[in-house]
Amino acid sequence: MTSNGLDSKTPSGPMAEKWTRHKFDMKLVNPANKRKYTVIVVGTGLAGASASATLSELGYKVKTFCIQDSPRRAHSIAAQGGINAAKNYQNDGDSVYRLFYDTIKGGDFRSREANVHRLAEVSVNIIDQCVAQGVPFAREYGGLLDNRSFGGAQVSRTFYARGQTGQQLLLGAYSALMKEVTAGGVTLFPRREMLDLVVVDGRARGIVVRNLLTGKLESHAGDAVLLCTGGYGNVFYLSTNAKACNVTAAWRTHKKGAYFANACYTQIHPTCIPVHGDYQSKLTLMSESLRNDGRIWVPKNPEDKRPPHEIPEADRDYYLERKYPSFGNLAPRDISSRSAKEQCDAGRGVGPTRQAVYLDFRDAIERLGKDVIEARYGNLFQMYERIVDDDPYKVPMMIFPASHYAMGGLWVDYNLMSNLPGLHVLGEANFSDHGANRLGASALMQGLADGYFVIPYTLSHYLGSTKLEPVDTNHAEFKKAEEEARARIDKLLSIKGKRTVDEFHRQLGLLCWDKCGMARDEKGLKEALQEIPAIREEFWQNVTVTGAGEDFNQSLEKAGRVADFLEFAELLVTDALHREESCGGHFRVEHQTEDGEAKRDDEHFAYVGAWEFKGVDAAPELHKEPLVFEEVHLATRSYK
Amino acid sequence: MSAKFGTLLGTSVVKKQIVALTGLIGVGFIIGHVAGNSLILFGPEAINGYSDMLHAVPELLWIARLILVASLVLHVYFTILVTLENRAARVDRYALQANHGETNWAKKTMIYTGLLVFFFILFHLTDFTFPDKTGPDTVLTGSEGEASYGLYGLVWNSFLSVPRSLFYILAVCCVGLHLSHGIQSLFQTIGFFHDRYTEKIRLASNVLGALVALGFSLVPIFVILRHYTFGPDV
Amino acid sequence: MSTKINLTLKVWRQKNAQTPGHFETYQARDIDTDASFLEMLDVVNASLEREGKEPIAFDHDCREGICGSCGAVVNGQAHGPERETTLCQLHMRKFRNGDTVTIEPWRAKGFPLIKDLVVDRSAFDRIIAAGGFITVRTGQAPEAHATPVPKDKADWAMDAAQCIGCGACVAACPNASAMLFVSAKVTHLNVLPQGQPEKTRRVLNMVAQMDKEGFGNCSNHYECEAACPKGISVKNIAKMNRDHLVASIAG
Ligand SMILES: Cc1cc2nc3c(=O)[nH]c(=O)nc-3n(C[C@H](O)[C@H](O)[C@H](O)COP(=O)(O)OP(=O)(O)OC[C@H]3O[C@@H](n4cnc5c(N)ncnc54)[C@H](O)[C@@H]3O)c2cc1C
Ligand code: HEM
Ligand code: HEM
Ligand code: SF4
Ligand code: F3S
Ligand code: FES
Repeated sequence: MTSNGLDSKTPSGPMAEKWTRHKFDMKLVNPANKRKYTVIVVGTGLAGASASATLSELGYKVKTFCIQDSPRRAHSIAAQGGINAAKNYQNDGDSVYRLFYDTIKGGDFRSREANVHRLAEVSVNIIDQCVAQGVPFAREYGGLLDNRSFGGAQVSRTFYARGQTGQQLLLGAYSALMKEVTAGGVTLFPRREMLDLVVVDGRARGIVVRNLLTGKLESHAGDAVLLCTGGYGNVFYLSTNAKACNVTAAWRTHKKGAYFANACYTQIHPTCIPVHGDYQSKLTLMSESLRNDGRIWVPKNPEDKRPPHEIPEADRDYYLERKYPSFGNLAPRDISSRSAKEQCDAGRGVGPTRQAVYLDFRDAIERLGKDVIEARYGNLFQMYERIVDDDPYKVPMMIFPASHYAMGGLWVDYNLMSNLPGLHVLGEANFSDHGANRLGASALMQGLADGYFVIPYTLSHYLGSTKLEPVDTNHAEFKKAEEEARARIDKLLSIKGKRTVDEFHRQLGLLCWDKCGMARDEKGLKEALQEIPAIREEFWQNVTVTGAGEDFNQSLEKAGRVADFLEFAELLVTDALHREESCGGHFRVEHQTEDGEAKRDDEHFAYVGAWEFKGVDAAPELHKEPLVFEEVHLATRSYK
Repeated sequence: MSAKFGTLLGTSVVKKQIVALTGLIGVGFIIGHVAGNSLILFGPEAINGYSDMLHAVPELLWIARLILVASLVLHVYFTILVTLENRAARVDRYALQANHGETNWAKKTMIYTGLLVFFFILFHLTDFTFPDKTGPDTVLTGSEGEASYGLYGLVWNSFLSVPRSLFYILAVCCVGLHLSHGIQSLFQTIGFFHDRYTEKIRLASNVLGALVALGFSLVPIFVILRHYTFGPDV
Repeated sequence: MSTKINLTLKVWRQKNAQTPGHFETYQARDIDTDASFLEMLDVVNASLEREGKEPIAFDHDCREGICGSCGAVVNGQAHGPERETTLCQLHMRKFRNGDTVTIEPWRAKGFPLIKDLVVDRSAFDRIIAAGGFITVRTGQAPEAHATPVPKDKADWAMDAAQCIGCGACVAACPNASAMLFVSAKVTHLNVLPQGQPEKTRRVLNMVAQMDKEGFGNCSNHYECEAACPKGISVKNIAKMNRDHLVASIAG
């Protein structure tokens, strides 16, 4: 399947056999030779940690980098809800095929079938692997694993570890990683930030990083580079992502030639704690599971100033239950987020900023008793109370959507390799498996699938079938990349302007949120395309970055990341503007049905939009990878 | 084996477990001792008989003494070592001391109460263990025929000195304080923790500490009260 | 309801490990009581940056109490006055208008200072590398349901596994001991059936590494448990002591 040179390298054959056959067809690297290869892994989230550990076990020399002081702190640690797997332990009719189908449908038919099928296949191995590592998943009294159900699925296939699933999975992968550090296969480089990719003879051969402790630039050469650097949700400034989440690594490789796909597919999570004030630095997610028992409503009358418990039933609008009688409060994320925004836009929002809706447990408490609710959500209620200082047993919670996940990312083929040979992209950083909308509990699954079960095969295929000349860090390309990175740092430090980095980030974030958030229209997007370069220009004139370059300098770190967001945001908007349809997390106001539902345009937009960088002030070039559906029929998503 | 034993001796956990086990031996002795001492309250025959019984089989007595001395030496050596290591582990002090209210005075003064007890023991041995149990110090003044009251007399006479009695009371309070943390602590150190019993052990430890302090104090208090209210006679 | 408060901050500033540090006094003005402690520091930092001064360095990432990056000793207490709360989850409504707040880094030989409130906790990683894992290579795992795990064991493992590696236990311990952290990991793995084969080796190696890193011994002060944002119980220390005792006799 080639179009403009974009070959997905999807193997032929029936869907269910593609991966098995492909594994057999791929080249292997002889065990004695593996030692001779150095693999650079950037990122220690689920994807990076699992890949590093596995590749080291296989015998490769692995160098692993992350921004945090310890690999254990990667953003994956924050995932709460759970991880899907088609184990069918509940005997409720789950299967690899059903997980595959749900994920394709959940993604609004904008993902590559073969990848998703492979994901569903290996999901079962992930659970086995994690249990063997000691991940303490929730269990029943019989000692066997428990499951819960999650949005967008009718079966119980989600494995969980209290409200800390991501933490436990990451600690599992981290312990595997540390085991390999001891075994000698992995060398760790924490507190390092990748600033550039080094391409030699058209292949990814190394990276330039800044040592965040000393501020010194360091070059590392290798035979392949694995980017596992997570998502770009922080382009909105306020998001549920950790503060260090960034687009820098992805953006720099994009500037070095890697295509960036589907940037406009961003996920906005409906149940987050609303913004309090302008000092707000990030948003906290409240687990989606709250929607199982909480009812979402707003006052019917925007002028209604009464406290929530004084508003009688007749004056409340349970808008999700009204609009989507069969899914009600459990409608998928994109739909519930957008509905909340609609209500607030119509002036019916609640709370001091009027940018919130109620999530009310009154009826559930009446029906089930406070004890049951406490047993189910006690820790979440506590967390809410700690942050908001309201008692959700008495007063309804207030929630509002927030940026959460990036479905878009660097383009990769079936082997998880980008169009730049040698550069592989794993986890949230790639665009691959979730189409236009990700279902809950599937990002963790993808991160681990990529790292434990896909890359070990596909990387040896690349190394086994490629002749690589030795390259070291004295190569001119390394020197050049270092020079550029240094020049940029010097530039940032020399501006000595008036506004802080955070102010610029906040300004950019607000703009993206308004014009390219839950709903987008042509006018807004075009305005954004005017405003972003203006902010960028001011940034490079008027930002203040204190301290020195060769020192521990957190202002400088932030400045570098925001500078990249300022370039990336334009691509985000460009992609959103070009996609003249509504699908999943991308809702174009112009393209909706009469009752306000997303209207897909399969005839014109059933493709992956992968952009090629052409210069900071030049328009990027679009490459299309058509999406061919062999297995499932394109249908309109309906949750009515 | 010996190399491994050497390495093990160097580990923090093992060092503390030696402290705990030697401490446990001490606790056993002290409880026996405080019980034995209470016989003083019942007159010369009781306590002297008890003492004679203990001295009946000298071999056994010496084995017991050896164990006690070894325990004390090990206990003191390792607690001092551990305390020095602990000080070194916190290079810089906090301007405001970190504290969430779990630690307490007893815990923080273990080394001081311990050291005081150590010097007390040296002093104490010269008081009762080394002296002649039939000599002039065992004669109660004013008693008929200047007869020796044995160990009983020795104890009686020595506690007639108020400063010495006060010193004893201070020392045994230190022992009590030391044990109020020491006993519960040793269970934790050797790895005994039980959701239900641990709370009880903590309570028992405090109670025992107090009882030990009280039990020992009773002797000098008894002697002084008796002496100064009823006169020197028995 | 949120209000605005003013505080006087006494913050430890230290350029690096070689340069001696000192307290610097700052005024934090108009702090919203709904803000988190780190957001309060953001506000102070922004004003420092506008004056061209270097902001106060502090580690942070998730800002929701799970990554374990943040932490400082606030008025003598690791992570501040609230129980089971990380610094990023501590809110300014716990302070009163006019308070003076003293902010210091974790102080321990095992955590050398990097800058201001930032310390080097890589010792924790080395302790994990010494044995905080189960040796199973990718692809070797048996079917997950092949080994049932009794619920009480699974729950205990989970309780212990919640440790976020923040280091507050070390900071709060009068002996700067890392026993709570180490025991949490030893226990998590040693109670599970999957962790049995390496039980002895794990506890011996992890304790040996902990000692090498220069942490103190445990005198059972239990300050660590009180400071721990995840409520890790000292029961785990007892369990580790027991496993170590058995390992040193049998192993
Ligand atoms: C609050 C929250 C809850 C979630 N809950 C769930 C859930 O219940 N189920 C689910 O399936 N998914 C969930 N997700 C999504 C999921 O957590 C993430 O998509 C996933 O963890 C991403 O993993 P990753 O390995 O791709 O990247 P990350 O975990 O983000 O790791 C990125 C790594 O890259 C490093 N890095 C980044 N940039 C650089 C650079 N320039 N140089 C060097 N290193 C760099 C970082 O240091 C880090 O180690 C949740 C997400 C959030 C925000
Ligand atoms: C008869 C006398 C003594 C008894 C019965 C005794 C008993 C104990 C016990 C049971 C413990 C608890 C061990 C643990 O935490 O597991 C302990 C701790 C301690 N003892 Fe003693 N002890 C005695 C004498 C001394 C002396 C003489 C010293 C002086 C150096 C001393 C110093 C300490 C210290 C410092 C600790 C705390 C060690 C730590 O936890 O870090 N003790 N003692
Ligand atoms: C008021 C308190 C005490 C009194 C009246 C007292 C009394 C005595 C007496 C009479 C003896 C001699 C026994 C004999 O030789 O037969 C003795 C021995 C001894 N006491 Fe005490 N004692 C007191 C407190 C303590 C305390 C607090 C300790 C320890 C911490 C202690 C430790 C010892 C030891 C080690 C011996 C020597 C035992 C031996 O012969 O091996 N005593 N004590
Ligand atoms: S045990 Fe508690 S205080 Fe110590 S590192 Fe873990 S979470 Fe932090
Ligand atoms: S406070 Fe320290 S002394 Fe032990 S119980 Fe905790 S490590
Ligand atoms: S910043 Fe992650 S725990 Fe505080």
